[in-house]
Amino acid sequence: MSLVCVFGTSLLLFCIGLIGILTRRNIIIVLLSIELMLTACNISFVAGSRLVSNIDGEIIVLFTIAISAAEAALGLSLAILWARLTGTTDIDSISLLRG
Amino acid sequence: MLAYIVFILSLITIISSVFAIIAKKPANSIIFFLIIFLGTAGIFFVLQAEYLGIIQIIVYAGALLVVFVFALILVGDIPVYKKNPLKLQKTFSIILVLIFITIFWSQFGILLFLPGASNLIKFKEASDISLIARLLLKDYLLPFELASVILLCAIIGSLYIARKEAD
Amino acid sequence: MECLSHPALVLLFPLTGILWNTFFGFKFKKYAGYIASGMIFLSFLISTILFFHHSQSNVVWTKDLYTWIRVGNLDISISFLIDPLSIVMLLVVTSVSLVVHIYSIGYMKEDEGFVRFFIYLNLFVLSMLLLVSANNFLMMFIGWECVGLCSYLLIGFWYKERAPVFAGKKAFIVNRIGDFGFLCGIILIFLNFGVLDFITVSQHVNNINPVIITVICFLLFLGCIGKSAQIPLYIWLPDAMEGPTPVSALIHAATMVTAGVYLVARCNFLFGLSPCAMNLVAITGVLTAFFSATIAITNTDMKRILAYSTISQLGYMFFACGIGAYSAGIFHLATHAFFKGLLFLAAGSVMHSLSGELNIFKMGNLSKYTPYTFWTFIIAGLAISGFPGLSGFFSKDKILISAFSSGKYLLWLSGLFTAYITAFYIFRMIMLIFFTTERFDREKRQHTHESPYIMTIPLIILALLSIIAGYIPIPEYLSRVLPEPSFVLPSSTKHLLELLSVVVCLAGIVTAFLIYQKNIISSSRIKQKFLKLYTLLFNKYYVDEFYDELIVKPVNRFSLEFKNKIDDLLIDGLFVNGSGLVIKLTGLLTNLMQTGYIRHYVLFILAGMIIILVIIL
Repeated sequence: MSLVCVFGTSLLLFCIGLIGILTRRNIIIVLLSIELMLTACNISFVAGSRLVSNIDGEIIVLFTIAISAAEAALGLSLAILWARLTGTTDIDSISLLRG
Repeated sequence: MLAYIVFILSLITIISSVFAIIAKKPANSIIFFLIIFLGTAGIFFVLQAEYLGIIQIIVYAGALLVVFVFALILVGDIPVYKKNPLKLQKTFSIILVLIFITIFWSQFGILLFLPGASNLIKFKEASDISLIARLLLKDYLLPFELASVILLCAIIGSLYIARKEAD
Repeated sequence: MECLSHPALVLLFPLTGILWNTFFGFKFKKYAGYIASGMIFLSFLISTILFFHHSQSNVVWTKDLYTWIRVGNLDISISFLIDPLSIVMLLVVTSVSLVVHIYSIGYMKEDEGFVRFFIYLNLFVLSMLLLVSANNFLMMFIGWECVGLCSYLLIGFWYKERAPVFAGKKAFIVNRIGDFGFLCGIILIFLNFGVLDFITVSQHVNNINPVIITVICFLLFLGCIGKSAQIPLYIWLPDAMEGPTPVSALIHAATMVTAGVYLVARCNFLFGLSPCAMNLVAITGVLTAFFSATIAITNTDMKRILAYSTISQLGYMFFACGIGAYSAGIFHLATHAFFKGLLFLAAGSVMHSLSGELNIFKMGNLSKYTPYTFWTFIIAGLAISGFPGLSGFFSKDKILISAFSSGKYLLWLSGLFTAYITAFYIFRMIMLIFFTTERFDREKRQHTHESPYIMTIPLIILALLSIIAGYIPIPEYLSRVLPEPSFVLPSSTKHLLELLSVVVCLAGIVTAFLIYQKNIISSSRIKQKFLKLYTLLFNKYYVDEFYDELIVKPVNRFSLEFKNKIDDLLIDGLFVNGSGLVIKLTGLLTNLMQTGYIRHYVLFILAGMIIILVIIL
């Protein structure tokens, strides 16, 4: 029961993060949604590591945290640059690369 | 007892994530995210991953959210100017995500009802921290170092990107 | 001496010459000719060493360098076959090449393509040596193709003019027909024997169905017809005279065109088993000898007369091979290489004196101006006519005696008659060039001069060779590997036949003398009397026109139709432009998906992920 609950939480959090990316237009909220999805993955990793009694899952979570921190830092600096250049944080304004 | 704690923590996390997504103001969102990360840390504690729980609080709830708050301060709470150009985006996203959940749960959910999967949460005598340390500094030494290099690159890169052009 | 007698060395020197002249020739332009000639001289030396070394030891040598191809059953090695036949060929090729190289230094002196000429010439010698020293059919075919390439390059040497380019093209295309036959023959040999080297094939030849042998012989002989300019593919050789004269001497008289005879002699173990193919060879040879000799009677172009004469003499060689007298054929090949090479070089010297004049009716009385050329030309003319004591007499007589003894009297008679015509047209040419009255322009007379020593000395060398070559016992040497016809004639008949040949030769010379020098028989009256025959001969039996109507025009028409229908519509329309159009349309369609909105892209990623999940689950 309890691990099922944990995996379900992970899936729901992932999907809510996905909806956040798909629907919200503020860059900062989009970046936060990405963090949410990564966190959902982390929960899955830890639960899986408990399920098969293997500690490697937790190590991977550590790396995920490191990568997500790096990604957040770069994403935020890009957002700040964009806001400074155009005066908006609307993600739809970044649509110049179109065919 | 532990099952209930997990259930309550999950509920709090999911509800606050929904609020975080639908909140109008980014500042409110960030507060809800604080609750999410703390709840996740709680789940980690219950799953006896104490080290990860602590890291979760320090890195996510502490450092990362502070960075976000600073970014928000720097950018300013600028409203969205343009009209929404993608009318059907919301509908399609929700439909697709629901399909995704259905497929995923119907296919992989079954694995979790295998015998022995439901009541795996039980206390262990020792903490895993020493084990993690040993793994990180022996088996995963190279990825560990690479992660540190990536973080360094990210620091330099974000500093370079976000700096003001020298006049 | 031991280490110098490797056949690969013979090939190595021309290769060195090519490489040197290709990379450094333009820097040391003055020495290009000397280096090329020097390399050929070294090649000649090695061939001589090979001859002496070989004549002491066993009859057949093979030298394997390395395995070139090994695929399934096919096992081709780069290896050389040294036996009397290839040694004779090596010696003939290197000696004539050497002389022609030296002559070319003088002849091509003022040409802007001086270095290029020697590169091609060395390349030709290399390919020819490869052809004659190859140990298997495939290597021989490589040499065969390479000499064809060099022939094309050298005929079209003056590529800025129209006629040489067309002549080169014609030679190449006509040769292609023959080469196709040769290649089919090689494939058939491989399918039936499983190997391609001469010795193994000759050992297994008795296990094969004679019908297949005949087919193989026909296909190989088709290759010979193309390369050696026999009926019906001889038409390229007269046009090939557009190339520089040393090229005509070396490639289109002495060496390359004789490759077909060499091939027949080399494959005697195949031809010997097929009387049908032998008869074909003999009849083709005689017909070619006769008809091209008749064409030469009326021609006015000095080099073309010599070209038809070459075709005619090649016919003799095939005739000899066809009646089984291979050694006589190769003997005639060797002597012919000397005297026909000499005739061409002397003709080049005449052209040199008259600044490029080719029409024999615009010459006359040149013996006064060019004594060396005159005397060497006379020697060569006597040799080709079969004058007793000169080399042509021995070889031609041997062929005719073999023909008589084999009992094919009709063929023998046509051969004899051709000998008469040969003597006649050669001396017609000599009379018109060196005797009679001067018919060239007044201002040319002042420039008329004997060629420089670098051109006359090669003439003298070849003249000496034309005289003495008949006394070298080449047939006896060759009979170690080549089968001899078994008929024996009583010596009285032999002497009678020899006397007959001499009479025929003298009759031809005297006829020419009477008609053109003494004017006792008026040439114009003969022309009037046999006007129809004359026009027929003058227009070379209308063979070129016939081929033009029958093959060239339909092919052109078909090609045009093909271009309009298939090429424009199918290839260009459907494949080239069509594929472009498809990509353009797909691009336009997929372009709609590229909106630039990140949220859209994420949605597409999600949709794609769902599709993949549905597919794999």
